[in-house]
Amino acid sequence: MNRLLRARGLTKRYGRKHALRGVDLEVNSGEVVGILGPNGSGKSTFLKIAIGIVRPTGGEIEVLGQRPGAGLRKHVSYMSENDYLYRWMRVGEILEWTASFYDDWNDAKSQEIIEFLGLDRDSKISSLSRGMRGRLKTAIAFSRDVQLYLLDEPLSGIDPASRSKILDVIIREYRPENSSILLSTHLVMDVENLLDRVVFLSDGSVLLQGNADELRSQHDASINSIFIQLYG
Amino acid sequence: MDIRNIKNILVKEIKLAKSWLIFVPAGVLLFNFYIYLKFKDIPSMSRNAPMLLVSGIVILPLLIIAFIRGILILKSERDNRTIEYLKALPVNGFEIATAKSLMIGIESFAYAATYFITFRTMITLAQTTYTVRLTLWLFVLIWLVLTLTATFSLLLQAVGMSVRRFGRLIAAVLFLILSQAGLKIAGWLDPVLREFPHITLYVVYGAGTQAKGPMTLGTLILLAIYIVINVSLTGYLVENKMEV
Repeated sequence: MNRLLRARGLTKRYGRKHALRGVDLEVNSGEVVGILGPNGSGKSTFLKIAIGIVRPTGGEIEVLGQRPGAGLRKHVSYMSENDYLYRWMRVGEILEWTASFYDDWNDAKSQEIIEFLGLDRDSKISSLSRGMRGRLKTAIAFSRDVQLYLLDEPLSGIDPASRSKILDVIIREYRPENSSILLSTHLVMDVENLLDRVVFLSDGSVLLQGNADELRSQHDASINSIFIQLYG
Repeated sequence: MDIRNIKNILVKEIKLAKSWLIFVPAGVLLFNFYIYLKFKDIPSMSRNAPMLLVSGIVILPLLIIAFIRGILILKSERDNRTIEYLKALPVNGFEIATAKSLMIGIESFAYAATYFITFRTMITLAQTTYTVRLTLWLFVLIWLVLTLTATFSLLLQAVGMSVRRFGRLIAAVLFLILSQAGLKIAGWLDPVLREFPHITLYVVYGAGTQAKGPMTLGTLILLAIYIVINVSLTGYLVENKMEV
């Protein structure tokens, strides 16, 4: 089993506020790891550091054997929780434009996902609902053939129909034999069955982490129930 | 730096900058037309009037527009949260800064060209017995000054977006320091600049009357170096300091 991501003592401070406090985390090939926690627990900060758009204050992180940066982003797919698409573009336009940066963009796969998600290539992004924009972000992330997908709150603020479609894409496109997913969420119930391992974050620190099945049997509860116990 | 990445970002910028490329030149055109209407009945303009118009009246709004444009080309990415999309692409800060600066350069070229052509036409029209000839070097000078202004404000915006606390205040202080430093350096380098070949920078109007400006090629090279420094510093900030 290859180690795709390894973080040791990862710390991030914004002024006096700690976003991460010495987080240790690993992602191995062929597994889906969930970073779980309430808003402000440091989930997004971790993923942003992993992709190299935020710099850590301390500690170290290595993804696919590289330090986060532009070089790494050629090989890792990232989806933000934010509404960060260029709204003036059309669906087809942003797909083509994004594809032009990557060698691992899979046009056939992209077309298939777009059709499955019911997206119209001619639609302006500004005219799409939030749910449809969420679908588009998912389509962009999974149109690439990469070893590691970093998904930041892929289901947050999305209507149930779109949530279900997005989950279907994640399940359909995930290939345990050659890829891994690290996703952050506070909507544990929706992704519970996907997760191989979980990391519970609170106020930037790891509260609990381990194999999902082992945690379920240790606590005699679902991951969602453990989440409620920890943060309730 | 990957040329493909710069080209891809530039393609996006060009699509987005359509209105800047259309409306600002249109505005320049209208402004020149206004000047034409204002001055067409004056039988004889004073000796340096065309040069005065070039440097004082028409260039000022263009400089302000260039300054604003340099800010907006980066600020709009932050306001629309698209800076995260851009930075999550496999591009580095230097490529982002270079592509945006190239866009600024293209826009400045369009502004300078529109101004240059319409100004000459209008002044020639206004003084029916006069013609105005402007040298290519004057055009290059205006283009570089507009580009420098825009890349300078781009740099200041990058500073504002990279410093979490008092970003605007720090950018404003830097504006004063850097602009003064730029002038000081130009002063120190003056003896060196004088060694470069002289270029003719003049407006000819009427029957061979000339309004001249002393200039060497070194001045243009210095402006170009300032632009490169601005772009490099912006690239450094976007890559290393700007978090989304």
